[in-house]
Parts: sequence; C-alpha cells; structure tokens
Amino acid sequence: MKGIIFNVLEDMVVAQCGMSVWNDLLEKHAPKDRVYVSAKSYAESELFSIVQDVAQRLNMPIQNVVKAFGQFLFNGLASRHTDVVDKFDDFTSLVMGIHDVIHLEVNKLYHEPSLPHINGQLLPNNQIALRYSSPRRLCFCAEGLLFGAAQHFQQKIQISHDTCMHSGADHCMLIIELQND
Amino acid sequence: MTDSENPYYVAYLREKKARQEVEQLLEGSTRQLYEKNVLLQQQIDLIKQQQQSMIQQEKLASLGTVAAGVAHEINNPLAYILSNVRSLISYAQDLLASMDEGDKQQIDQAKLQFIKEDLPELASDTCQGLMRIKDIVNHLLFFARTDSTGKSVIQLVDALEFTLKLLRPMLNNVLIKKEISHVPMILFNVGELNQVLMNIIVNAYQACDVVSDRPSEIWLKLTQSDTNICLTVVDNGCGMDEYTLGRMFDAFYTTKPVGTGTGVGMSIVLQILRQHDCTIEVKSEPDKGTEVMILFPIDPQAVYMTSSSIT
Repeated sequence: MKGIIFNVLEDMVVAQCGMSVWNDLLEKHAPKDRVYVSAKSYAESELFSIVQDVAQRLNMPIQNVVKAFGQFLFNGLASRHTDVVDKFDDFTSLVMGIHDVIHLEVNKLYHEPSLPHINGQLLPNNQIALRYSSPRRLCFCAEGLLFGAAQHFQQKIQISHDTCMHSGADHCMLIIELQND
Repeated sequence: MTDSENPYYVAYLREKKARQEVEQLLEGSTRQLYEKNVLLQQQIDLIKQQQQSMIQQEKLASLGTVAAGVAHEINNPLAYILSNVRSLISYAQDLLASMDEGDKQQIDQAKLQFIKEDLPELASDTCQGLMRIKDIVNHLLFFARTDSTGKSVIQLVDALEFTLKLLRPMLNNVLIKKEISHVPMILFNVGELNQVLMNIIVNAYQACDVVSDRPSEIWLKLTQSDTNICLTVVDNGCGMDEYTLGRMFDAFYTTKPVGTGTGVGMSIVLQILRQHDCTIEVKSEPDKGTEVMILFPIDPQAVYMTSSSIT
C-alpha cells in the first residue's frame, strides 16, 4: 500500500480524533519510528489494523469506516493532484476515465501501485455499471471514493452493491445511479 | 487544550504542508521522467524498425548482386528441361498416333525401341533439372526470409555452404580454399547470419575482381577455441588502406563506384554481430588482401544440441 494512502488516513484521523489518537494508532500498529512517505510502499496489514482500531474506537462497522475513509481519500488525492481531476468535466467522465486516465497517471508516479481492475459501462436511465476486482477487496473504499467524486462535482448519486467479493463473488458490481435534483 | 490551540499542532500542520509540497515537486519530476522514458522507448522502437528495414533493403541489394548469376543457374537446367519436354511431347504424339492407327499400320519397331530407351533418361533428367531449380529457388527464399526474428541453433558450416552455393555462379573464377574444423552449433538469427556471410564473401570477391595480375583466391577457415568459434575469410584482393579500414563500418561509406554499393553492408554486419555478442576484426594491406575474423561466442545450449545430435 502506497504511503500517500496512509498520509490521507493520518489527515482524517488527526482532523476527527486528534494528533494523540494518531500517535496511539501508530504506536500500536506500525513498526517503531514509522514514517509514511507518499511514493513508498508499506504493508497493507498496517492500514487494515489502524482502520479496524478506528472502527472499534468509534464503535462503527468497519465497512462504514472504510467507506468514510474512501470519501475522505478522494478529497485528499484530488487536492494533491488537481491537474488530474481538472481533466474531467463531470462525475460521469471521471468514473469512465478511471482506468484510462487516472490509473495511467498513478502508474506515472508510483512504482508497482497494485491498482484494482475497474471497468465502467454506461447504462440507460442515468446509470453506470462499475466492475471492481482486487485481491485487497477494498470495494467499500471504492464506494467511498465514488461518493467523494460525486460530492466534488456536486452530483447526487446512489450506489447499489449487490454483487460483492465479500459475499464470495470474484468481483464486485457497483451500479451507480445519477440523481437529478 | 484542543489540537487547534496547541502550538505543536500548528507546527505539525506547517511541517506536513512543507513535506507535501516537497513530495509534489518530486512527483512532478517523476511524471516528467516517466513521460520522457515513454518517448525514449518509442524512439528506440522506431530505430529498431528502421534498422530492420535497412537490413531488408541491404538484403534485397545483395540479391540484386547475385541475381544475374542465379538467373544463369536457373537457365541451364531450364534449357535442357525445355528440350526434354519437347522430345517427350513428340514421343507421346507418335505413340498416340500409332495407337489410333491400330492394326492398320505397323509401328516402326526401330522408333519404338528408341523411344523405349530414351524415355526413362529424358524423364529422369527433367526431374533432376526441376529439382535443381527448386533447390535454387529454395535457397533464394531462405536468404530473403523475413519471418524469423528470433535466434535459433544453427550449424555455421551449413550456412557457409549455403551462401557459397548461392554465390557459385559469381565465384566461378575464384579458387575457394576451405579449412573447416568440426565446431559446435551457434545461436543466431538465420536470416541475419546469411546476410553477414553474404556481405563478407561478396566483399572478398569484389576485392579480388578488381585485381587482374593474379588468380583470385578466397580462404575460408572455421576453427574453435575455448570460448569462441572463429570464422576467418581471407582474400588476395586489392586490400584497403588505413583510412578505408578505419571507416569500413561507417554507414554509407563505400569505395565502390556510384550505383554499385549501398555503403551500409558492413555497418549492418557490425550491427548484426553486436546484437549476437560476436566480435569482428579486420586486417588489410593494400594490394595484398584482407582478412576478416568473426568470433562467435560458444553458447552452452547450442553446444548441448550439437553433442546430442552427434550421439
């Protein structure tokens, strides 16, 4: 897992729970003197342990915490890479450009970023079918990222997530419904 | 005291912002590096394509050099095949006419006897002539092949013999002396090896051709050391002075008259040999001759195949 993800997680924890909580989490779940540098890779287990701890502290289901982190993550990444987000006119073009544009940009910056496989398809009735698959099974984070993107473009959306890797499927299918005011 | 009132928190945010800016600078440089790398890769691919195209053009030019000789080689069997086929047609007409006549007319027994004796020889000679043409065409196709891009395990002496066969009409007046030791097979691109051998032997021939005061001779030696297989081509032609020797591998440098040399032959030879980790050394003396020595590295895989083929 790239350091930038930990950087954004730190922002979220510090903003919502305070610096001391982040220090506690690091002390518990990361090796001594751990410093997260955006371009370096770190063990995924560190991220999962920290997120799990946060969920326990907030007394929230872990899926909700991951989803909330996903939404926060979009803003964190967008603020660091405004030039990439500015390439898209609206929410739909961003979602349809995840593979060809966003992942291409990620590959330029990070060595072996282990990106998920994402394939979007426009459906009738203002819907987008997004096929997600990744050995990390971070589909709830992907959902959160989509909500973050929708918020950025002021687009109301609803996501149904009936086919899920957490239920034994080999991929997740996110049906995004674009809602008009 | 909340985080926002804590002076250390303010310092933390400031430091974090500074680090983020540094990381963004680094990312900007990384992105530029990536894009330049992609561009560089595209240019390398383009150069490789152009090199391949140059090799192909040189190959076609070499074919042009040997075309007249090859045409002559094909014409010889073609002439007697044509004559034989005409005789066969005439015999067939005679035999068919005799069958139509039936009992009405006795078949000329002497003529029948002649056809009976001549027919197997005519058919056999025709067949041999056609096989000879097929052989020549196969050689040409083998030389001109562009399908193979990979390396394969090949016997150097076979490739050498093949090139000599293709150049036989051209080398009619040259005494070819061979000292061929049994050497292991080599790992090489077949089409490219043909190109290398063709260029070097044609150069040796052309160097001899401009000398009129002595009979033309080309020596071909194939030997082996611990690490290399060595092919040496020596001619007693016009040789080269130091300046020409120094520039002989430069692209588009030629000492041949305008219109007869492309000037890229030896440059392509060097390029092909380098791609196969081979080295080439050339010694030459004006009016004495030239010695070209190519060292092919011994490849363990090819050696294994050689020993397997023997046992």
